Amino acid sequence: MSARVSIGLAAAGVVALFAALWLGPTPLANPFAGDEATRTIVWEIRFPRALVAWIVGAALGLTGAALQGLLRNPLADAGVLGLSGFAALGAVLAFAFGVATLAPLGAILFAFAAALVVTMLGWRTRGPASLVLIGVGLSSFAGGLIALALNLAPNPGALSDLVNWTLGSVEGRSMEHVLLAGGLLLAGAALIFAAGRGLQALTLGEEAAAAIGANLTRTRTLVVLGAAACTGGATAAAGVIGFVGIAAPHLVRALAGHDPARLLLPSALAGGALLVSADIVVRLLPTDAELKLGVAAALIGGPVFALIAARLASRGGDQ
Amino acid sequence: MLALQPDLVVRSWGGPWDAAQVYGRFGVPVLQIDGAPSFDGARAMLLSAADTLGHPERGAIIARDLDLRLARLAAAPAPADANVLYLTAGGAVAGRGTMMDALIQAAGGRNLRDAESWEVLPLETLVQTPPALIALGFFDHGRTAMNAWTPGRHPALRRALAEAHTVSLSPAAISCEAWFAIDAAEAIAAALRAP
Repeated sequence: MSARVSIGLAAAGVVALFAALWLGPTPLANPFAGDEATRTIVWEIRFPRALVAWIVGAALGLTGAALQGLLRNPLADAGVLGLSGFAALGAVLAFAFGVATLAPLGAILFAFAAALVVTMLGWRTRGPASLVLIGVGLSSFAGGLIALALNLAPNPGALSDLVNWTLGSVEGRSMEHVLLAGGLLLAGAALIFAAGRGLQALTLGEEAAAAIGANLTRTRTLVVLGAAACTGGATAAAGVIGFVGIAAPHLVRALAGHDPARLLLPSALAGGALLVSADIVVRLLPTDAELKLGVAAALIGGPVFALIAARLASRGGDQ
Repeated sequence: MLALQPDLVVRSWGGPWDAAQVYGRFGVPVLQIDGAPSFDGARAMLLSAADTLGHPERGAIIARDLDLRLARLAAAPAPADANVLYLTAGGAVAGRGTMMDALIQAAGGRNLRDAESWEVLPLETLVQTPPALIALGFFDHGRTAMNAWTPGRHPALRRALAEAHTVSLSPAAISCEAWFAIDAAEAIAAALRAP
């Protein structure tokens, strides 16, 4: 069942990517026409942009599924562990100190720093509730420092850069961003998939999982570091984009089942297709200034997620 | 601020949003300098500021010079192709209702962006409808390095800029929307009519 769902979601992603080449603010009769303007628009502007959207969506979806499995909490995502908050903080500090070219690196390094803190404290405390509490603390701390950077912005231009970046966007992204986010998605996915068996065992509860020989410390470390790689890459490429990490696993759970290991790939594929589709909507909206993808993801995803949650609750399930 | 006992506070942005009222309550007059979206507005702001600062005659001299230079630009022959795009290194382009739009028109050009206000560079439009001239703001003053996500770094834009007719505007002329933007208008006018 999971394989069929994955194939279907992969196909949906390919269709969305193809549509992203065709649809945009500039109407194109044939996106594969040979003239230079069309080739530049399709292959240098739309293709990398759509690929970045897919990679970021996949990274966030995969991270959400892995963390929901690890923490056995259906509301978990990179934000809950403070990873996305710290990634955002890393980039914001680069802006604030006038070295914004280092913002992507800052996002990645700070995501790993948060992962390190969560993992180290997690070793001591054990228990998913403690990990969530540590993450919430880190997230609040990062939020406070970001607000401080906004508060102390030296001029309206810097303030505008900071605010725009925190809204999340894939506008104007190039293959440079594809390589950055794609490389980190591959590394993060390798770590997270290596923790698949541990995530499966965790569905029995921590004590039972340990009793059947699951190495919980290894599972936690792999998932948290993998989530940091995915979140750092996604944030470095597109800024802060919320909601996909929570929504994607929920969207596929009804089709792919509740096994966290089997949810990983479908969640990644769903996240990718979801964000590419959201980006197409953003590009086609008849607004003077393009709506930011992070804003659109929340505007579309919020009500959809609430509807799904309400439907699940009415069926008596809350996972 | 109050401890310094100023005779006048000259402000642009920052501080309380209702600074004039706040300082006014303590008897401190405030000269608010806002950006002007047109040369008429910039001229009025200049005269008002000069008056408040006690130098109305100096304001009048600058205003007369501005009028003269605007008249000279208006009298210049129309360029063959007048489409102009103003682009900052941060990836913003100026539309209608901005001083950049006003100075492009004063230079005898036609702003390629007809949408209101500022927006992020629409890369696809630039590729499909290349302007006769791209006026660059802050490209050689560190703004390109300011933002790793700016469209100003996109390979398609870099190639477009390498192939396009461009003019780099002095930051001193365009940092604020004021009368001295006439320097930028003259630079655009000269670039539009250059062989």
